[in-house]
Amino acid sequence: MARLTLDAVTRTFGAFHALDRVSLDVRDGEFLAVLGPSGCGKTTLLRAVAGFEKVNGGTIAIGGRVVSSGTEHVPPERRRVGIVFQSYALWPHMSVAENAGYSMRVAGAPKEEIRRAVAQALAVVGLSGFEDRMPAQLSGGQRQRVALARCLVQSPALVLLDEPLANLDVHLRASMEDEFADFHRRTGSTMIYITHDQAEAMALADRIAVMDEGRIVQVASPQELHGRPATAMVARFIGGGLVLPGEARATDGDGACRVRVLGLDVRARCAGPVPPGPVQVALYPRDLRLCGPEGPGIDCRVTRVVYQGGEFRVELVPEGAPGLRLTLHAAESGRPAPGDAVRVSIDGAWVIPGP
Amino acid sequence: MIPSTAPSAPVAPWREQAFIYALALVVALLSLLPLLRLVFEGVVQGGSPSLAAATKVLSAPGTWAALRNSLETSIGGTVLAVLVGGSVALLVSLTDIRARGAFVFCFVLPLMIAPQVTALAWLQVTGTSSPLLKLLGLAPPLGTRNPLYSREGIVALLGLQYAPLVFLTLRAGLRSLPRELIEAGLAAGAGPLTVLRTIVVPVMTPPLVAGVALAFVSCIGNFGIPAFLGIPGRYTVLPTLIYQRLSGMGPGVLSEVAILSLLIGAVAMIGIVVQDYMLRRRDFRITASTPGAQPFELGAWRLPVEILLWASILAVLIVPFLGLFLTSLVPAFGVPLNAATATLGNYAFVLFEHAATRRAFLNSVLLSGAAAGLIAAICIPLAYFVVWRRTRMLRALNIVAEMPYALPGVVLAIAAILLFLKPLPLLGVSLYNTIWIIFFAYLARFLVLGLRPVVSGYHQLDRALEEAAQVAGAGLLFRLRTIVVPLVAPAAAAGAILTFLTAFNELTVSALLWSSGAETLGVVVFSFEQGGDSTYAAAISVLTVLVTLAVMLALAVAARRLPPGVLPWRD
Ligand SMILES: Nc1ncnc2c1ncn2[C@@H]1O[C@H](COP(=O)(O)OP(=O)(O)O)[C@@H](O)[C@H]1O
Ligand SMILES: [Mg+2]
Repeated sequence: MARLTLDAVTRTFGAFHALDRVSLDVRDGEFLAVLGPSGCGKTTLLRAVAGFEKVNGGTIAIGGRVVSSGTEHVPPERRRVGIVFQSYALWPHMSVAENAGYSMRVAGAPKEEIRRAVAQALAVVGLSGFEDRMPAQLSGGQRQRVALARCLVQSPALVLLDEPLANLDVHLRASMEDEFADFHRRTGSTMIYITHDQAEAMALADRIAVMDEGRIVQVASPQELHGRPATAMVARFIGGGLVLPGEARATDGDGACRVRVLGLDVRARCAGPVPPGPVQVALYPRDLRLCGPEGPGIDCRVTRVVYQGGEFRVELVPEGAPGLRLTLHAAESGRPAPGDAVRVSIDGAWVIPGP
Repeated sequence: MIPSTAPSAPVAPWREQAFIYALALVVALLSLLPLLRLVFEGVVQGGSPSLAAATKVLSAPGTWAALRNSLETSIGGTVLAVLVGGSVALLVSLTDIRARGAFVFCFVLPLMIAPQVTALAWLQVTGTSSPLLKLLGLAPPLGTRNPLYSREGIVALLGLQYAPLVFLTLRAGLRSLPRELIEAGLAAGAGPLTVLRTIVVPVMTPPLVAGVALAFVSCIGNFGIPAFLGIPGRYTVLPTLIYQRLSGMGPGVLSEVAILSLLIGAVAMIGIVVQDYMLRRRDFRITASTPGAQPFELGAWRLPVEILLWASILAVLIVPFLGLFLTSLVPAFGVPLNAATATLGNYAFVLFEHAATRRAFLNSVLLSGAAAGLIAAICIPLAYFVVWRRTRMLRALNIVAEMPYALPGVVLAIAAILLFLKPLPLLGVSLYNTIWIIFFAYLARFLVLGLRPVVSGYHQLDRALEEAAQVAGAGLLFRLRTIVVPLVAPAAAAGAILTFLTAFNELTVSALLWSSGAETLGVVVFSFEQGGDSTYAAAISVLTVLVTLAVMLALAVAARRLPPGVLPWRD
């Protein structure tokens, strides 16, 4: 059983808070992605869970057992977690089979048993027959498969992956994503997958924890993060939302309210009753639409039109707010040209509940 | 409030703690204890604090004469080393000469040859009975005093011995010189010489000063060259003064020579502090994006420059060692050498007849080999804790470990005598006058030679390799055995071979510590030369040079499997 619980975990480097009261509850067998911009503390979080970093405060528990706290620290070799490293961390002086079977060798398992387990794991990752190769003779994708096989042999209840695809080229990534998903199905391990690539996180995870400046700002499903971001940072980071100041007018109930934004009255979605007053409003490209000159809308000038897989991304500057950049998607037929004056209507918006 | 105190150091299991303390104890015994003992002797004699010995030594005119001579020869030698080593480094690094690797190997070679052997070679090639000069008909008339028996002779040989040291420091700096700096200068319209004067030399000031300091410290601690050239010429420097006082009067004058060695230590310290400061600055300054300057094309000058460079190799390497080799073939000193008189008798004598030489060969090989092996065994876990685990106590000791090597060899030798003159407490056995005192001194002095390559080896390894083993459940010792040792083995082997070569060619420490039955090769060469048996001394020297050369060539062949930067003579 490997439920992972972090409670107010803090880790500082000097005065700098790399982890700031991080709390997280990962269910047994869940596939959780941790998503955040570079330098936000993802690796530090993973290393704290693995036991390579001590924590200054808070507790980490794996399977109900406290492994890290201000006073306690179980060393990594006794935590029984598996890690897939970004650099693969294959031992260059050992063959593929020796790499994969290392954890069983540590445990003192008989040679024949190790050989069988290794053969089975290599078959799973599609590397049967590669037992005697050295890591230097493998391609990047093959190396990551060996690292995965090494993890399979160890069969830990909790697997940590730190940007495992960052060193691979684009077309290999998709097939490795399948490999990870398959690994998860097969073993039922709890998996924590760290990445700064949202497409990767959305493709793999049941839930995504978004991190920013050492804090976890939202843990939710991919759809939820897209539709109902908890903070302005999440709205901007996920799905390219634009965050604007608005004025709440009234709550309609049923998760809807009316706000005034960019001089228009808009029906927006919200998390609960919104008291009238200033709020932050998230606008996504899908909320904006080109409309005729007669309806309510914002007068804009088109600055750029870029073809983007099947449709066009149109970038606009409102005439009334030249510092702003709006983006919307348009079909091939009705697309404007750069320099055109157009009118844009706002079909929907989201009132950000947090900071 | 968020707690913002740093977490306490990871609470390692007790076995790890015991391991760390054991390592710390070993390093402290080897590096810290001898120096503390020496300082103690300087201020406490006969059980009570006293400055009597210090006063006596410091008021003796001989002390100041030797200090002045030491400074004269060291400064002179340093200037020469910088001129030669510096200009060669500039030529090799910044121009398009060919066969660079071979040239660097040959130029650095003298560094690995014992100074006393260099001294002997030059004495043989320039003396009245020089077989080489006789062959050429240029020998000075009998009775002419060899001009090398002088201050100028010592300066010249010190300069040639340590030019490679300056070369290596400066070359390392030049290799990390960002190419853009030179290109920006050229683009601004400056010619190559202007770029050299206004950009390259100023930016290279820190490594240059570091090289100067290193050469100075090495010159001031050198014993072999002033012993061979200065003692016959009655030109005494501090290390030879200590040697003469100790071998003339015995351990009774220990307090006095302790003061003398503290005096050398103090002078050397100045050099070390300057070097440390400048090296720190260099690390800070180099923010290279694309190191490795594009070489300047010499054009029509290339061939002349190449001829000049290789001629210098001929002059400082080939000619003296040819002279040494010819002397080793002479049947008796002074007999002219020709096809009829040439003999291998000297080799037969030192290899098969002379018991002390045979013993010395064995002693030197065993002492150097055992020291190299043991040092490698200490350094692998030591560097592991220093580099990867950043254990504070061992990081501090890592700096202390530099001292016995950075300070002149006589300082450590005197400290070892002070430590081991009396029987060891509890055990009741005395190491003094046994081979073990030399072994101790070798371990202490050369520890850092083995340590540096291993430290740089760890820096070049991805620590995730160890962490992967850790999450697989492997404990510290199992990880060290199965992962860490195989990975740093090449660097450790390079360090061990460096240690072996240096110890094998060493004279300074064993000249003060040897006893009958515990001679080293350096001591035997020294005794033969002092007794006038130059032909035997030459034969042994040729053999040691051959051993050194063979090891270096073997390493050069294996070098591709080593991490970069662990072999000094590999370009
Ligand atoms: N050992 C350390 N000492 C000081 N600062 C560190 C250390 N490790 C990480 N940091 C800092 O903590 C922050 C988070 O780092 P990291 O967890 O590696 O980010 P991410 O993996 O999200 O890119 C960074 O600003 C980094 O500079
Ligand atoms: Mg990271």
